[in-house]
Amino acid sequence: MLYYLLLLLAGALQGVMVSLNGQLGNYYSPFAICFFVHGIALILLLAYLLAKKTPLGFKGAPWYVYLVGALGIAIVASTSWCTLRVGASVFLAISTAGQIISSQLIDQFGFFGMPVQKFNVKQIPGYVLLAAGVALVVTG
Amino acid sequence: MFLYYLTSFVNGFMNSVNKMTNVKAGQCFGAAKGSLINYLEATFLSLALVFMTSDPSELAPAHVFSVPAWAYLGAICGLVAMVLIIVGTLHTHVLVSSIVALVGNLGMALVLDYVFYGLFSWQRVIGILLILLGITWIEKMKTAGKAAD
Repeated sequence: MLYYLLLLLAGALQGVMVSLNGQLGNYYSPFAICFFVHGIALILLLAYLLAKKTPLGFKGAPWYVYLVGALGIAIVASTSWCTLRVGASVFLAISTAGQIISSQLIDQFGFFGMPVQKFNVKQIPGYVLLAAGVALVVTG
Repeated sequence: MFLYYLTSFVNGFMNSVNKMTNVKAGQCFGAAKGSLINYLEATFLSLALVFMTSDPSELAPAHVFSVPAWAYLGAICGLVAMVLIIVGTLHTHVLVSSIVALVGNLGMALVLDYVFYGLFSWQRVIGILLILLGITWIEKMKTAGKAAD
């Protein structure tokens, strides 16, 4: 039960993060928001790793792993840009739908070395519910 | 408005790719160092982009300290959330953990839309319930299909 509460809290904190990053858009350009969001996390994480005396080396990963920072910028910038205009719930509803569909594509074609998992027609009612839910949130 | 909706949708795609890339980074460097490479690269790249595309004076201390301190807490929330998700997912079922985190995520979005913009409607609550129901269905059928294979 404790772990479910932790997960619920984690989700709530992510919601807070999206909203607060959106609010930063009132004061900064999208890239400056990215700078603060990533910079603050960098300082905290670096302090943790240094305290644990973890050696810092980044060799031997596939090439696309080194692009992860650029992707992080695109995500944070688009999140704050959209949240400020459409609100957190509309943004998260549509973004969640995007995540589910892209996950399905990743599974379908086995991208990133994931095991291939073909689309199952029994999933269609779920997609209908998802589309109806997103439509209600957007027009609500 | 369509552009914002489209960008939100693409953001979801980027999140999935980012998740996969982070998993790979975690496998290569460990969870904490895997996240560090993301934050390190993004911090310096975004700083360069600020200087190239906008007015760098927005990073002047006078402006930085004039912004309410609570607005900067998003990064800390994200970091704590990441740790809690790792801990929670290790001790629960993956599908259930994703749904529970989404309940918190979308539920909090409803609350904060009310706090920041005064927006609330029961239609949105029903919409979010349908989204959660839809995702549960999709993932359950995906798991059922995998078991049948």
